[in-house]
Amino acid sequence: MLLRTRIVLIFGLATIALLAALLVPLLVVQNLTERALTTLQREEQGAAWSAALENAATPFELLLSQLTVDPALLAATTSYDVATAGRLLSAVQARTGVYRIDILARQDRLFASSAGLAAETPLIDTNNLALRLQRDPWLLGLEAAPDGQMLLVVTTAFPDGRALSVGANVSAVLKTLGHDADRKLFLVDRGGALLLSTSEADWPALSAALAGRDGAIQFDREGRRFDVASTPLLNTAGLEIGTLVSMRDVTAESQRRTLVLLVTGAAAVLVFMALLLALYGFTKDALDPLAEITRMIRAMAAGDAMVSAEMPDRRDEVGAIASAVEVFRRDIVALARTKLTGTLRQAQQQALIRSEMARLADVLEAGEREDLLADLAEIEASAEEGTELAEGFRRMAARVTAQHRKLADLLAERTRDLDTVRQALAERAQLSRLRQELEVARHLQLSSLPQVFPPFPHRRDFEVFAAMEPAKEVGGDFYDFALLDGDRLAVMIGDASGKGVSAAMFIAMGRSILRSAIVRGASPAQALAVANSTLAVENHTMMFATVFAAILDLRTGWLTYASAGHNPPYVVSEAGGVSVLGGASGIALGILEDAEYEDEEQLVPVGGSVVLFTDGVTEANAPDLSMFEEDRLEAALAGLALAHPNEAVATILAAVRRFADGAEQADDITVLSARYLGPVQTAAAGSVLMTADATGQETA
Amino acid sequence: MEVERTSVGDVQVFRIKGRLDSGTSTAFEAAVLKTIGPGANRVVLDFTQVDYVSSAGLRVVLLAAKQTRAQQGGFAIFGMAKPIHHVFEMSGFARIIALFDDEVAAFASVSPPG
Repeated sequence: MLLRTRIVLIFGLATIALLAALLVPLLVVQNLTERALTTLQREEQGAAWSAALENAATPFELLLSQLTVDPALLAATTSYDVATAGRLLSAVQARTGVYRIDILARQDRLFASSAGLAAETPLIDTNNLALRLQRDPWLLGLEAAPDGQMLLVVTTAFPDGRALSVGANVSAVLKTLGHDADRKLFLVDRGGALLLSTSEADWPALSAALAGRDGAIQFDREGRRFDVASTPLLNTAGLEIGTLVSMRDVTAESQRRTLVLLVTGAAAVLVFMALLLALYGFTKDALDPLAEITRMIRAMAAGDAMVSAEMPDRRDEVGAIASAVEVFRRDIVALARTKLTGTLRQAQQQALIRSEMARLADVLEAGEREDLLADLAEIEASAEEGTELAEGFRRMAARVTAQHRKLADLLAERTRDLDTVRQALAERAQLSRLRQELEVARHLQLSSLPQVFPPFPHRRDFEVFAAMEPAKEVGGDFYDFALLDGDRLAVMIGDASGKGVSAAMFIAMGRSILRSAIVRGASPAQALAVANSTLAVENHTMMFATVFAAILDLRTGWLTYASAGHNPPYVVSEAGGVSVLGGASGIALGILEDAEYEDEEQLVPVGGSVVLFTDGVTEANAPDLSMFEEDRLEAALAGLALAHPNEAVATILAAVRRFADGAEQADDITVLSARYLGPVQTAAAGSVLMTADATGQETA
Repeated sequence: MEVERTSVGDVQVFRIKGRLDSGTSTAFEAAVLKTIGPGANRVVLDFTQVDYVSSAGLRVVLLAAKQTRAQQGGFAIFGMAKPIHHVFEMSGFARIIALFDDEVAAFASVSPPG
């Protein structure tokens, strides 16, 4: 129900209730007033009746006054002549036309009457009559006659304690009164029977209306309205003897009243309707903008903030609401705009996230990339649905965090690896320095070895070849040869203990001393002794070197040799015989300062070879750590008869290599072979040192 | 190479197992030389389980012998296999280092007289 309807309805109901609340007491008051009016009417009617009676009684009072002094009557009464008295009274009655005249005895008995002896009861109620007459000399009132008639009875005292009463018909009184009061009058006895009336025809209707009712009433008959008033009638003794009923035609009066009421009611209804209309109009005027506002709010609630704003410009509450709603609407529009902006920004951010995530995914491993792209797809899907976005991001963040942690771990691992690498690099640098040192050592070792073969290409009396296969770590091997005064060939081979720079330097020093000693003419033993005495001085680390030195006399084939703890070389004859150059047993160089060495001699047959080697050959390891040993060397040598030293050396090295079969070479492998081809008498003159120089050219 | 050191009286015995070459001689040097000093100058090397001795190994043996000699002590090796003995012979070191076949003789050689 509309608010407007409700307000109008409530107003109407309230007004009706108010009117009812006013009308009820009004009716009550009116009822009370009417009752008072009825009483007044009754009293007025009673008073008018009494006045009319008194007025009518006046001639009878005069008559009674005359009778009380009437001598004849007095005489008759004094003499108790009832008959005469009766006659006299009867004559008066006849003359005056009254109903009856009575004389009552003292005992209130009927003494005489105009009706003669037929009269049995007095006209007047004799109850306390004497007392009443003492109070009021004229008793006046209605009395019910024995025949039922209603009489006006006037009583006064009569001499000798008697009383005199006269009764007369009241129809004249009734008529006069009815005429004066413009009413129809009815006298009714105590039993309700009509005694006398001014309009007998109206009685049946009136008596029907009166049936069982008392007081003032109104009744309608034949389109007319009548007002009825009843007054009880009392006799002189105060005893009720009947009722005076009056009836008046109040039709015009009633109609006038009804008209007034109708006009007033109609006016009231009209005013009421007008008020309702005015209220309706007012509320419509007041509330219609509210309906417009309601429509707007509904539209806004439905999400349409763009609804047209035909808001009234008013200064009341509605205006305030309208402006507030307008503010609200603008807020919603602004909010919608913000939302739109936010959506756009979200879309941009999504695109950004997507591209960034895709970029991130690119740097990840394949499996992680697929997971991440799946997350991304899920987040985009959920963003479209508008739900679970946070959950999707949380999962992605968790994954990215896990990735990050993984990467961090990886980084830490890589950092550790890097440290290891750095350490390795440092070690490598150190190693590199060591290697440089080794290179120096190697250079020291190798640069002093004769490298050019054949060293003496013009000599036809001997051939010499040597090779050294250095171990990974520089060992201390060396070989050397020199032509002494053109007739003698010096050959040397040596091996310093240990490896590295110290070994290289040690052997270089020893070799240098040996060489210079031999060149100056020392025998192999002498040269070893010289070198030993130098090397053994202050040799706290007990480094040592084994050396074999020999000088071949090219004119005779005699070989002079000495050994400082070195492996004894072999001599291979042209026929293939292999023999050891034994007998030389000096101690290794550098151990004992005063060690002594002895020269041995052996003849090398023409075509025979002297093969010198270091323990790198005999102690070469096969993969199973077994060693090459002398017997394998001897076997190899046995097949080398007539072989050129180049071939001999190559064969031995090949045999060793074959034996090693890839096993790491622990020591330098050095082999020197010199083949004696017999004396040549041609250009061998002078004692100039013939040695191999860098160019390999012989200097003669 | 493994080195096990025991003391019998004031004689220290080093039982060496494996190869004594340039790769292991440094460890052998460290193990043996640090034990030699004043009052600890009698050393016996058990070579019964030595497979190979290179020149680097020989140097450490010589060094140990030299140090015990400097402390007026004794130094002996026993139980050498034939190839190793050959090396000692060839290098001439057999002449300056006491080599024995059995442990008892080696101990006797390093123990103080009386």
